[in-house]
Amino acid sequence: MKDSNIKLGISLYSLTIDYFLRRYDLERCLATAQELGAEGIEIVAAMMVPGYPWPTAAWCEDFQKLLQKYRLAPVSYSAYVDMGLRSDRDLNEPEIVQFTKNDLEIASRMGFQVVRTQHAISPATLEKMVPYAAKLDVWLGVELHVPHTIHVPVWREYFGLFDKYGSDHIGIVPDFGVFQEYPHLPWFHQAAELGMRQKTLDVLCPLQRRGVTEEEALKQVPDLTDAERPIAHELFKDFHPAALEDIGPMVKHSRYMHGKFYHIDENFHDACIPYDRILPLVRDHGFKGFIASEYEGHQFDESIDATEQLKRHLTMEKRILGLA
Amino acid sequence: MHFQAYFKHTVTDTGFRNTAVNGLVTGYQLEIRFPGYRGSHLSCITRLDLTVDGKKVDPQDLLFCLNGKEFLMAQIPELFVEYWFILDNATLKVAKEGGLAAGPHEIRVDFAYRVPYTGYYGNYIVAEGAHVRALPLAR
Repeated sequence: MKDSNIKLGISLYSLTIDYFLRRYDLERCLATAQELGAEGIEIVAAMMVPGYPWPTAAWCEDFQKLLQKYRLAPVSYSAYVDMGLRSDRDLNEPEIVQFTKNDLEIASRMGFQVVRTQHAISPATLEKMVPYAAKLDVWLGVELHVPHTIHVPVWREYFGLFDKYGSDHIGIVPDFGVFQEYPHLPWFHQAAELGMRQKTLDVLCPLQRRGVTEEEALKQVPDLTDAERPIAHELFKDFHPAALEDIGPMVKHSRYMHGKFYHIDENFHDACIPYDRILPLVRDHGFKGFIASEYEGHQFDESIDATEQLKRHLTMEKRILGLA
Repeated sequence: MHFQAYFKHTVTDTGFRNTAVNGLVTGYQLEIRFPGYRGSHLSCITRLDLTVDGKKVDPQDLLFCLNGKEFLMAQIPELFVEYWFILDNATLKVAKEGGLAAGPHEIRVDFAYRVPYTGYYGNYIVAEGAHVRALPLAR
């Protein structure tokens, strides 16, 4: 690969189905990443770290050796804010601080300098984490994910923190799913499996694309079934893409991005997320860091080959960025 | 439609057999996976019903076994320090003297769990689904 400010990795989350069905263990996932030509990986700790949230120091050291064996950079440790883990109440702020410190420490032991967290951490708690992240020399990035854009109130507060503290130790992890315009192929597969009729979609999809409201559109389907109703609701609720102009402010405070995708066709094209417009903007705004391919079609159709999808996604990215 | 992909893999192929203590057949057991892409604290489980051959098992006859421990179903909501790693199968143990007859049985597990990072102030997504399959009881 040519020398570039943008480096391409994969999130091992992409291989969820192979891992969940015990076809691939962690090492096989890493070997797959290397075979695909990824330069580094993201790991979802709550999924692939045995003993989480208390892995042993020895396991963390062994993990670093595995990364060296497959010549992969440790790109991002994905942490959660499991605010609802208790049945009786939400976690309070001191608890979230302690859980997040634990994640920063595990990540550091595993060799990661980037920790992805979630917006539920809250701006006030993120601010409290800045000194500790600095001491561990870890960058704590908050994932910008659907249905948010950088313009919602909580994200205005996060940007206020980036302006105040700089983005050496905190920042934004944009998930390209925020730019998704239309439902993807595996979504249609699952919709059919759950009882959505093609004739209903034939009516509703063009209306969704024209920006017609759900209420107006459903008047065109008098025989909508109970099985179809929640799926139709998702169709009108879920696809409101952020503006591509938002990429500039994202790049300014980011060192890691999620290349979320659901399906890349055999011509190396994503029909739902406009990569051909996103990636040149990311490059031209001067992004330096990793983009991890994050395949999520497995949530909708597990029969699709995730490794082939990753291969297509990486090829698409290289072509668009001129790295091929 | 989020989080639906995993429920159809809940009941595993392995481990369905009668249990015995000192010659007394105490009941039977089977193994289940956590039907999600990542692990979970057990306190996030909001429903776990087992139905065998069309008859729902009384939760008071059921034990949930994981991490080297056995829990009563009534304890599940309190288990916020027990983590279910995604590659570990849990065992469901049913107290039923005499066990089950050898051969195929219809196993149904209804499962629901709170996705603990999906909301604020109580508005969490609850993923729910069922898995029904025929399983042969090992002799």
